[in-house]
Amino acid sequence: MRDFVFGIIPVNMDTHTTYGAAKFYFNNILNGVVPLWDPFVSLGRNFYLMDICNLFVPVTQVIGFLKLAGVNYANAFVAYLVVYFFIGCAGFYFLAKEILKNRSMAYLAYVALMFSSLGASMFTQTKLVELVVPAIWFFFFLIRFARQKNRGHFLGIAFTGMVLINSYLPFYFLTVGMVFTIVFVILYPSHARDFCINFYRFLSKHWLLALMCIVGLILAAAPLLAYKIIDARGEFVSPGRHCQYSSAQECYDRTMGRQGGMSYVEITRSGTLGERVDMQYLFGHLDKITYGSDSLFFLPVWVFVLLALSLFLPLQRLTVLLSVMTVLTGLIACGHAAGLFGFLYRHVLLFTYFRNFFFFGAFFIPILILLAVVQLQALIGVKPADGRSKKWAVGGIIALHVGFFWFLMHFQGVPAVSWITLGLSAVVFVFYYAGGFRFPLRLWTGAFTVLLVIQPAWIMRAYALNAIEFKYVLPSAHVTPVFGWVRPDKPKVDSNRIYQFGHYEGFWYDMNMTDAPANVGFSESVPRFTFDLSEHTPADVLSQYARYKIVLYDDLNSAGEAVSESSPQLDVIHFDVNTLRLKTDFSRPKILVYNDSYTASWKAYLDGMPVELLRANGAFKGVRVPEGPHTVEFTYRPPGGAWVYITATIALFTFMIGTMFMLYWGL
Amino acid sequence: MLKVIFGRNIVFWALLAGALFLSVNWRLCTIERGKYLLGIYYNGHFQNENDGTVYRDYLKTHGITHEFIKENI
Repeated sequence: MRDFVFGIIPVNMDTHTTYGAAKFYFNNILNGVVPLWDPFVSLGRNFYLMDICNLFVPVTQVIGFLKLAGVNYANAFVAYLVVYFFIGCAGFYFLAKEILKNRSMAYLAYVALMFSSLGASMFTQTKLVELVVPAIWFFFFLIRFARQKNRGHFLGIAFTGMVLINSYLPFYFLTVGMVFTIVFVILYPSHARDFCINFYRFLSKHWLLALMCIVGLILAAAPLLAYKIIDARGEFVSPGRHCQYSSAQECYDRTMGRQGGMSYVEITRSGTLGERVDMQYLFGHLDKITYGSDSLFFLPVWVFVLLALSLFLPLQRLTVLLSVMTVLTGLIACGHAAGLFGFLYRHVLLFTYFRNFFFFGAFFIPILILLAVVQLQALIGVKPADGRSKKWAVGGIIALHVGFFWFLMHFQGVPAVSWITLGLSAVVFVFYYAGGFRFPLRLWTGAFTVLLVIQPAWIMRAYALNAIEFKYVLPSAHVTPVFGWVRPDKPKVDSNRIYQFGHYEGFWYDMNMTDAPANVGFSESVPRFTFDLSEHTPADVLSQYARYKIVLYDDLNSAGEAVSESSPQLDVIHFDVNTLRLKTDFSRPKILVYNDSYTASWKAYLDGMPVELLRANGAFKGVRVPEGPHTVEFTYRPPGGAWVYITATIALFTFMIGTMFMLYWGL
Repeated sequence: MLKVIFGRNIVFWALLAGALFLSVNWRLCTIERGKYLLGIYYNGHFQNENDGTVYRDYLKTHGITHEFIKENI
């Protein structure tokens, strides 16, 4: 994994997308601008990724600080990923310790998580890490709070809730939380009742703290809410989401007819668990997984061995809780291949807005690991007292290993290391039940660690070898954007094409903060009028026209004069991603058209005074400019503006420090 | 005695596995996965530009061929 961690193998797939957003964001922040608009691709669009890429979370700020310390953006981003993942692993250790009340078992859970696909997939699908890490800490604080109602734990719940709101979409956590709540209330009714009563008492006593937490949650949710407000206005559409497998007309109708919500078919069309995860690849061909496949999902094979060995153990309530959570979440994640999601889609509003259900797979990893470690704890709790019991135990363990051997034989391409793990497991357990249980648990923990680690370590090595051919240097230098009067004709990125999927190429321009060719193409977010124009205008005509950023007209009926460079009559005073300020000195009144997408959130100013912003040539921005020297400014001012993001960042920092302070002092 | 027999993990997990098996349209999952692997979603063609052995193995194992995709999807 060294090559991943040190950035020798560049991040790929959706992590590449997140890197593109993070690079764009922090680069602009260090330029003194909170980026709200992206003028470089799709003829200008909102910086929609800002709300779903974890950018306001305190740990993510490491990227900016490391950049200031001289580290390039790509390495700083990988450092953030690794730090975030290990924060999650540490949280999982504490969570497991709370549940199992045993440090050795908690340590094994920690090791299993570290050697699961969650670690490897952060370089291709960072969303999984961003979803799971705060969820782990949320459940840790929840259990701590249930056992010891102090303000630190309460603040911890609020803080992790705030992080979850900022980590991609809170939908996934809400769903898992909902499943957990339902199953928990059914299995532990008295605990649930006591928790509710004590929670109410705590709120009554600490109502000011509770109020503060609500404010914190609202501030953390503000960026997502601001995005949803714009979305509800219909300023932006998502052809990339609405157009899959459809005709051009159907694509147009669907895209223009929907803002935000997607149909059942659109939601379930792709990204379901069945689409991305195959039972075959839980055990077979793991050494052949291509770097760049976001289907990577595996657990150490010994986790499955443990589950098999525990088949005849007495059923515990915790086993029921974790098993039912896995199955229910799995059914939801199957989308339209299972009836449960169809029911939820029809009756629960939340389920009408989201997709990529395979992200739920990330939650299976910690749940299944906990389930396996619970079983291990029960397995090592069996200590046969006499010779006959020992024979039964040893015979049983051998029979179960043989059974798992038979099970594995049904899979193709099972790596040799999995068979070795199975054999070693049989040996270790035979020794244990033959009398080895008298040795200290610490000794056995070492042996169990080896059993957990050898198979995933070998697979990760194979994964790294597969990825080593993936050579590319991600744009990582700091950029001060320069206004380009003319967009390029051909994609600049072609010679460097490394992306598995074409639409990722747009991020190359964002990372470099340079103009992409004048086309719209497949996109996750396009201003509504721009998409409409692109659908009704031949691509070459639109491309030829929009190559020039500025076009001048004498009046509405005259032919336009495309501007290709600055002149004494027209020059750029200031340019950043949200603003373009021009100096004009025309000999007669002009209509100045800025061929960057129009939305109602853009404002125009003439000599500092607001003036009417025209929607020009269908999708662009225009303003009337009188003769003589003037200053013209175009500025993007969406609801809440930059303050939404600044306050969210400050709130998250404040709550993190508050939580750490209170936990440290035991308040 | 029955409580001892039915109070084991294996019985409960078998019930869950049965419920899961009956609730999921596995054929549909296979078709979706075939579509995904063939790259229809991403590049609009019946081919994946970059994947190697694993995907071919999968398609062979599950009988998902170009003809199958054309006929069923």
